[in-house]
Amino acid sequence: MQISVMRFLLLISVFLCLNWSCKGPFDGFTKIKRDEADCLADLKPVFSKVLYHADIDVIGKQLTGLLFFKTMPDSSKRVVFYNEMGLTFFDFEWNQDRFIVHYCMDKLNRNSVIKTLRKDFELVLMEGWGSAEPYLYNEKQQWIYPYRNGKEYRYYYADSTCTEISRLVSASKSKKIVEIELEKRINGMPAHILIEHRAVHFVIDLKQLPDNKE
Amino acid sequence: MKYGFFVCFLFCSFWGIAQDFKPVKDPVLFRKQFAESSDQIKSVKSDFVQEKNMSMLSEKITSKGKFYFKKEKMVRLEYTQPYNYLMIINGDNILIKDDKKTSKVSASSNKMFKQINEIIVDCLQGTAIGKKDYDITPFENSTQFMLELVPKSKGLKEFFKKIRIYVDKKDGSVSSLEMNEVSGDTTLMRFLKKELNANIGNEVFAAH
Repeated sequence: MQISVMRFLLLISVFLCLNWSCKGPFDGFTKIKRDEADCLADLKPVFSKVLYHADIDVIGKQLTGLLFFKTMPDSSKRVVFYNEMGLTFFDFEWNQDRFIVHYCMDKLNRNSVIKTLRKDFELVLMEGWGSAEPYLYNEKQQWIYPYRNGKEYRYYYADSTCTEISRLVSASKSKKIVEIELEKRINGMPAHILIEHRAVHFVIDLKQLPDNKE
Repeated sequence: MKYGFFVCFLFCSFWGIAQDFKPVKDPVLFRKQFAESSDQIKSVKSDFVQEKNMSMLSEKITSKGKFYFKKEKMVRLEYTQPYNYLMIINGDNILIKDDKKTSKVSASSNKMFKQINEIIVDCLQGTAIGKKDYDITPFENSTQFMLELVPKSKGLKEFFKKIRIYVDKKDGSVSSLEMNEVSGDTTLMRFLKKELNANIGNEVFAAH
C-alpha cells in the first residue's frame, strides 16, 4: 500500500512537472494562423543616428552614459556606449549576419556580458530575427508576432493597425527572459526604451536626447 | 609637377606652423615656472564645450555646461546640454547626479574612481606635472604650453593612450583637455569665458 501511494505521488509529481514545463508564456492567449507576409518587416527601425541617455542598473550597481545608434553608409548598424565625460565603454557593429566587437573596455569584456548586450540590442534593432512561427497571438488590442531562433523565441507586440511596436519579449519555451517596453518613435527609433531582464536584476533605461546639432 | 610639390610643401609647412608645438627648451626651468604659475590660480569658473569624436563613425557629439574649480581638489562639472548631469569632486568624495538619482562615491574606497578623480583634478589644477603616474613631455608654441601625459599605471592605461593639457601662457590656466582613448576615440574639452580667482562659495562643491 505504501509503495503504491509513493508511486502515485511520484506519478503526480512527474505529471505536474511536465505540465509546468510545457506551459508557455502565452498560454491562454488567442492563437491564430499567420499570413505568409505580415507587416512586421516594415516596422524594422530605420534611422540615421540617434542618441540616448542611458541608465543601467546591474544587480544594484549603477552605470550611466550615452548610447549612440548609427546606420553606416554600408547599412551596417553601430552602437556605441560611453560615459558622460566621453569615456567609451563599448562599440558594437551589426553588418548583415556578422556581429563585430570593435571595442569593449576590459571590465565589461566578458562573453556573458557581450552576449547579453548583443541580444538586447538585436531585439531593439530587430536584427537576427530567426524564422517566423506559423501563428500569431492576440491579446486585447495587440497582435504578438513570434519568431524562433534555435531555442530562443522572440515576440514582437504590434498594435492592431501594425504601425507601432510597443513591446518585445525574448523567451525560452517556458518563460520570459527579457522584456522591452518601447515608446513612440522619433527619428526612426523609440523615444524611450526600457529593457528588463527577468532572471537577474538588470535594467537598461534609454531616453532619446534631442538632435545633436552644432 | 614641381608646382604640385611646392603647393604640397607649403600646405604641410603651414600645417606645421599651425600645430607649432615644439619641446620646451629647458624642461627643468619650465616645471618650476609652471608650478609657480599654477600656484597663483586659486579658483576657475568657466563654460565648457565637450566634443566626443568617434573617429570610426565620423561622428562628433557635443555637450555643454559649466565648470568650477577651487583649491584644493574641488571640481564641479555641470552638464546642461544635451542632458543634465552633475559631477562634484570634493577631496575624496564624489557626487554624481542626473535626472533620476544622486549617487555618492568615496574615491578612497574605489581604486578606479580614485585614479580617474586624480587625473581630472591634476589636469585641471595643473598639478599633473609633479605626478609619477604619467610620463610627461612639455611642449610649447607662442601662446600655449602643451603637456603630453602618457599613463604608466595599468588602471589608467586601460582607458587612455595619451592626455594632452593645453595651458594659456598669459595666465597659466588650462584652456583645453584632450583625452585620447585606447578605443581610438578622442574627447576634447574646451574651457571658455574663464574667470580666474573669482570668489566661489564652498556650497557649490557640496558633495554630501
